[in-house]
Amino acid sequence: MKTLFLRELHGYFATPVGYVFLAMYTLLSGIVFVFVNIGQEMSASMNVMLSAMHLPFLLIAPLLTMRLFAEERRMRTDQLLFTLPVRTGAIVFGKFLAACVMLLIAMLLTGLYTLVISRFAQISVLETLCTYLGYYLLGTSLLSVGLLISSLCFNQMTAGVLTLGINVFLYLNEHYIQPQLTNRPWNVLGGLLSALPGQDRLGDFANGILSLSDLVYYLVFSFLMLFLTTRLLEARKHQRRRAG
Amino acid sequence: MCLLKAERICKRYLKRDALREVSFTASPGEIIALLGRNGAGKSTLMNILTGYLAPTSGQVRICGHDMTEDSLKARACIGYLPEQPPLYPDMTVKEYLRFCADLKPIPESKKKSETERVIAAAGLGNWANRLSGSLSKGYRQRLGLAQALLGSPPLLILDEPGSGMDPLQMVQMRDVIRQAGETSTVLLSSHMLSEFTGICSRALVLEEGQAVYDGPLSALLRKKGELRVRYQGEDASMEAVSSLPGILSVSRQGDEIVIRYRPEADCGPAVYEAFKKMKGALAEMRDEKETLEDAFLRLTGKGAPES
Repeated sequence: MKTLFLRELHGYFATPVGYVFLAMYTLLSGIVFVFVNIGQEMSASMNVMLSAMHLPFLLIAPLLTMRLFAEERRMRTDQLLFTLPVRTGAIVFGKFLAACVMLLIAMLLTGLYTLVISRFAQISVLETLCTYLGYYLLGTSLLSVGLLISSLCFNQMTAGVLTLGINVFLYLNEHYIQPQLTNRPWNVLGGLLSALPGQDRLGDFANGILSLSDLVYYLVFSFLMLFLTTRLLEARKHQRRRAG
Repeated sequence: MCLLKAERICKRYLKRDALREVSFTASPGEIIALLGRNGAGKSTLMNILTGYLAPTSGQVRICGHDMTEDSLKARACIGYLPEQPPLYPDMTVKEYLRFCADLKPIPESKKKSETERVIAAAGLGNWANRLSGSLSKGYRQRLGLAQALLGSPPLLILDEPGSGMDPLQMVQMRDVIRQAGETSTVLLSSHMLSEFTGICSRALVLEEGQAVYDGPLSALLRKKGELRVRYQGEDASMEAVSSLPGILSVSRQGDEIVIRYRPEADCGPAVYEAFKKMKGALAEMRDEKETLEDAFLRLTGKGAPES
């Protein structure tokens, strides 16, 4: 798994994808920090910046996941991976971990803003760390969705557009669909949709509380996506078509 | 001992049977040519043997391990070169081979030397630090082969290993495969039938998903029923040859006399004796055999009807 993780991480930096993601994330978070944290809210809380960064992140997250499996299929390197003595789960987890590390690097870069703000205002270290942890977990759960989508697609552009569509749907679900469905007869649907990842579970993290239930939720959600991806890739052995 | 055992392999795609009850075994030290036209099912069979595809029915055992039940152990015994070499263009030759070595059951202490060994074996020494994406098609094929050779697996499965190679590279590729065949069983596929004639001891011919021949390569090639003779003497004396039993025709093509006979008659010795009795000089006599292409067309019923 370590080998596959390192290979994937190498892939991010051997192509423009990794640099583009980090540049976009840093640029957008910088804009948000200047105009929202300092300009609009005049707040020392990193929750303000990370909360406002959620939508931009939903839009650029597909950059990290779209190529993970779709590119392997297009390049036919999946024929190498799936015929080597390596478990499918290890391949999936190695790729997921690499995407998570990219997100971690991006979020660590925004730690610079915390250092800037700490010179002018008092910040709560625990609250800041919990906020970062919450948004990181939310981010990784979205990456796990992107990984699943990539395993379904042959073309990375298709995977990217599909993941983007799902991420936008998750945003609309949280901000527009969920409030409409509350206390309606079709609340079962509301219940199902409320199980999807969103910012609504981050309240405790933002207040410096390590919410065990929300922590478990994000971990279980990601695990479920990785499990589905693994099963899907194994099931594809029965459906693949190759010339010959 | 049976190193590879494929039993009644079937693969069905929606409305088409890609493979129909293909069974065969391979023993250590064999180099087997898997022959067939494009679309005959060669790559599908190889993908099933390597665990990339699951058969619709049937069983594959590699070194005694079932490919479905004990896939990891079975795959650990295989070195596979797919039809299109599976390379990462952003990795150098050395990085790519090290990556593959890390995923294969090779002891940590031997990974470096094993990588260097396959680089040398595949003739990639001058290209070790080049990005694999910048290699020519022939060298990509070599790199794919080097990857398959890593760890000296007991079974090598090579799908169209000569694809995209120039004649010199083909000679080198044959040498590498011949050497690999000293320690591993090799199953290689080709639709260019003459590519690997010299190194394979056995042939498995597929046509429309069915095995139509499985046996020694030498027995695959029948006599053509044609003797070609270079003889310096009077043509009139050819009457002595044409009157022999089983001879169909005698004609002259350039400086050669072409004698066609019924293949079942085996007229070679009698013709030779007839020429010996003549006054001229017999410089050469060849009993022509089918080319692999002829044999393949005969087996698949696509050639001219047998005389």
